[in-house]
Amino acid sequence: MAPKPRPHRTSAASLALSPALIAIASVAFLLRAAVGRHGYSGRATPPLFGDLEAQRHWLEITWHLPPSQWYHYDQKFWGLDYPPLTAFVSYVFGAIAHFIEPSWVALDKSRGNEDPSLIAYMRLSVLICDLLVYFPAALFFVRSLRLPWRSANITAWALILSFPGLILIDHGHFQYNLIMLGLTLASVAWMTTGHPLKAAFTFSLALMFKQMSLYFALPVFVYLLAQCWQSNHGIRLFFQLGVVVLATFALHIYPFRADLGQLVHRIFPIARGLYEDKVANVWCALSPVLKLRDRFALTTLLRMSLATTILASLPSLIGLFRHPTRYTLLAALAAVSLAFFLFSFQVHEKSILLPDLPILLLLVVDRIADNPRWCVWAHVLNVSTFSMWPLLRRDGQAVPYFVLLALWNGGVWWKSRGTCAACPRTGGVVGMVYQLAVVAVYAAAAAIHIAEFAIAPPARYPHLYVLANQVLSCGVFLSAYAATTILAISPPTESTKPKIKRA
Amino acid sequence: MDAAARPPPHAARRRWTSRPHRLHEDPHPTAVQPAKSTDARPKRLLVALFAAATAIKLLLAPGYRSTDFEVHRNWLAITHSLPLNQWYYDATSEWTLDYPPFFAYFEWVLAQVAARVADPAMLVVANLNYASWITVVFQRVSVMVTDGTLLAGLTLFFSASDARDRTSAVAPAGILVLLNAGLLIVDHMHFQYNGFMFGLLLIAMALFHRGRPYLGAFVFAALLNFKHIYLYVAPAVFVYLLSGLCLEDGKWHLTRFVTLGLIVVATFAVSLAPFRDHLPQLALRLFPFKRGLCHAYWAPNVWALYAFVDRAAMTVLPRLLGISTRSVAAMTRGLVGDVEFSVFPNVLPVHTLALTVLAQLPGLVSLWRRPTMSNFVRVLVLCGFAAFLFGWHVHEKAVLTMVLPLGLIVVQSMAVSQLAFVLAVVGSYSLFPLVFEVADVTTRWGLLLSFAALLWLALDGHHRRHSHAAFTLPWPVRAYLGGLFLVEWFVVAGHPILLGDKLLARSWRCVTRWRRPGNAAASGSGQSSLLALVRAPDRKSG
Repeated sequence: MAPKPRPHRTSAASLALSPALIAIASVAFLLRAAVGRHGYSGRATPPLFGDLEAQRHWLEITWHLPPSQWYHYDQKFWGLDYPPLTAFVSYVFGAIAHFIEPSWVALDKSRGNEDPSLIAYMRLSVLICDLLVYFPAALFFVRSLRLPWRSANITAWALILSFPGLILIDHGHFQYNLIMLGLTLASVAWMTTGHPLKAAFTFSLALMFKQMSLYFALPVFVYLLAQCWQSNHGIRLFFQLGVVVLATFALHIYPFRADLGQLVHRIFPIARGLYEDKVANVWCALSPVLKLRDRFALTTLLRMSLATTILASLPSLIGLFRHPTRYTLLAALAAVSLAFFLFSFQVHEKSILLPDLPILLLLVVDRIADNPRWCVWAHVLNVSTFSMWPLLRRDGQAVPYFVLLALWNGGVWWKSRGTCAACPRTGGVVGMVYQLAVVAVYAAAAAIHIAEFAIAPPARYPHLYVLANQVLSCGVFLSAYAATTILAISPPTESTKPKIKRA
Repeated sequence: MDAAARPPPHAARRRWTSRPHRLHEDPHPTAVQPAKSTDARPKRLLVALFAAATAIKLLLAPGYRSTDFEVHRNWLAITHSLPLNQWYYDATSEWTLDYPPFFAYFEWVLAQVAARVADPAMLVVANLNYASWITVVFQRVSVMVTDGTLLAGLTLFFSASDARDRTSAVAPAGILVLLNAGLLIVDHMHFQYNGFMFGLLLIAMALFHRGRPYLGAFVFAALLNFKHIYLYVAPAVFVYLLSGLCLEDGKWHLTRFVTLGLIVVATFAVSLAPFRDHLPQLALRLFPFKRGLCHAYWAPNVWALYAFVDRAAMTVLPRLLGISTRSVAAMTRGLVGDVEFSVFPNVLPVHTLALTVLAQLPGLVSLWRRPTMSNFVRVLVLCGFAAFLFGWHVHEKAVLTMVLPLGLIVVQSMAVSQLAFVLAVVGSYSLFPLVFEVADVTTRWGLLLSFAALLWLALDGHHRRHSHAAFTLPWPVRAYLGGLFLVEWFVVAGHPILLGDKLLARSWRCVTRWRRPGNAAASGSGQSSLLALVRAPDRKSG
């Protein structure tokens, strides 16, 4: 029997920033700025460069061309393939860039411009988005937990802001995932404090920023549906939600109404295949034994991956519908996004950031409730950062990778020996197996890192270390998928409900 | 381990050792609990802070570095490749060796390591501006490792203190010293070894505090032979030892005085003896009085104001009076910036020396009368201040001399905490122009914001625990600190937008950016290039 979430107002006073929160935010800002001094995706690699050039190119085309051209213009050179909100944000930054220095975004002529000031401007744009979207969303989520202790708030805030994977990809590799994740974070906070309409609105914005947030769409839909189901005015709420979502979508795609087919075609590039690069999902991990890509037609693969994804998502969705609480919502978000990551079509290694968000929130909730389960999430997050190592190394982010992991783990495990030792107590044999598995995974990861530096891979298997990395990570993600699914379908008992205890 | 636990050699010595315990003067002595020498928490906290600082330093490593990086690479090459008697003569590079012998020996030791584990090509004198990947890693890591002296100094000091809750007293000190934004900017972006040498200063002070005056005197004498900038604070050390040790209890202890003298003379002898035939040349290199009153970019001291007013007068007076002033060849333009003011009288080294001594005197008299540890730290800071404000050719980095020693007494009272906070923040801010590249702007904001916020947090935590009062600042001070935001914003964005590129370059040249010759070409366009955030391609150097 899940208690119906009561709406409550967060007053301005309770949102006031304490010195501790400001200090943590400042350090988080420093880490982001310092990571930005290292390499980025596609540095000095003409003619295509990388993600930074893609994003810069979008500033250029959105500022100079009418919207009707945005999804058509020269698709061979980083054609726009994100939903409209990304394009709108690009337009704003393109306008500012044009005001500062027109040559940064000159149409066609600015391609491959690697002026240090331009790079600094692009870095600054990510920082600004972070400060405007992710930081406030994190603060809002922490407030929505309504933690009575100052120290618990500080822990939650620090954990959410300093997760290395997100910093390394957005401020190192260069992307704007934090806008999508920040909007999702706000949406979760609104859902769990009884504001379904606002939650639906912010989540629609996330969808309109990056189609990747479809990973979260099913649990969000099911949670809101369950709220309608339990509400006395369920039908009315359902229609209200529908109107909010459809209106938000309509507003975004209105400028492109003439050619919606092209928009959809650009956003869902089915032709790009089951997977492109090496990625820690099931299809890629199976590839050494089972050459699926060569054996089946594209449509067969598409159907196959769709079916397995849905099938893998179903249990946690049913569990969520039956018990729509904050904890099952987070568990279902993690389980479904992991299912999408592991089984769906066209997955990128960076997409692990999506499961990372709910897992990070599970870590926060469990760490504060002093539930020994929190160390599981810490391990999974470490492995997820590890799974992005090949990418980060290529980008010249090796030093930040190690430094941020060390810093974050130093913070996570600081003064925690007592709690983590509680893990084996979850059951004799299970606990033992778990401890062994943790040690084995870290040992294997360390071995892969060391081998990569010390020994060149054999000529026959040039991608041996990358593959080893992805197979190891895939195993951990599968276990994490199983764990979160079990948590999502088990009814909330004393142990799964976050009980707040003073440390 | 603990000095106090050991049987002292003679009674008078013990009395001297008992003095430092006046450090944390408490109005209710009964409330003071004896220190638990087994308490490992402060040490663990300091180590954690040092580790966190090292992480930040690693992140800063690949970014901007000034010509001082090449300076130190050149010194490695000189000490490694040339015979000792040529160290202070070689002028292959314009960055000649101008630190005292111990620092040269230090570079020699580093060069031995570099020759074995790093890139031998960096040790060739003719390889000017050589900066291979491994060279950068080696030099950066050498700064991070030698910063360990800071940790050693703090640990030595605080493991002998008798504060009631040492963890809460250690946190502000650790943050002020180990995470100091100014120090990170100077050493780990700009590139120097200040952390190492301030660490030696802290070790010397900690040894005084622990009742080991002779060892402390040796460390301080050695420090003077590492970098003679610490002559600024030498008067305080001298008076402290003279009054506290040699004149203890009103009695004149000649043996102590002689011992001290011998230690100092011996240290200097070890340092200088190998160069006994070249002392005039050494002095010429160490005390470059021809370099001008103000350094490459003006340290924010009295002479900066003096020169600014002079310059303003020079611009305004001719129009008012219709006369022509003397030619305004820039006051620090050129290698030997022979100072020439247009309106005000010129300043000679002897004037600055007289003013410095005059400003140091009151503090020294007070220290003479009351040679306690806390008074010693205060007067040491005061001596640093006097020399910084009135000295000849002061470097902006010298501001750290006032900030870092304050770490030892930062929680002594609310007033000291407030002073230390303001000084640390403004001191760090004054070093911002050292890192001026576009990519550095957000980093320096992050460094200063984190430093200030963490320091505030630690001070607040301490004062809440001990005096049940929140840490606050009076509103004018808060307004002043807030004004820094406005100034910084104006420098980064407002000025370029309002006044445009050329005006900006000119005005900065007039106000702050006097750089050493050759520096300009190497390090881009100084403060003015901040505007590159706004206007990119034409980054001309001034």
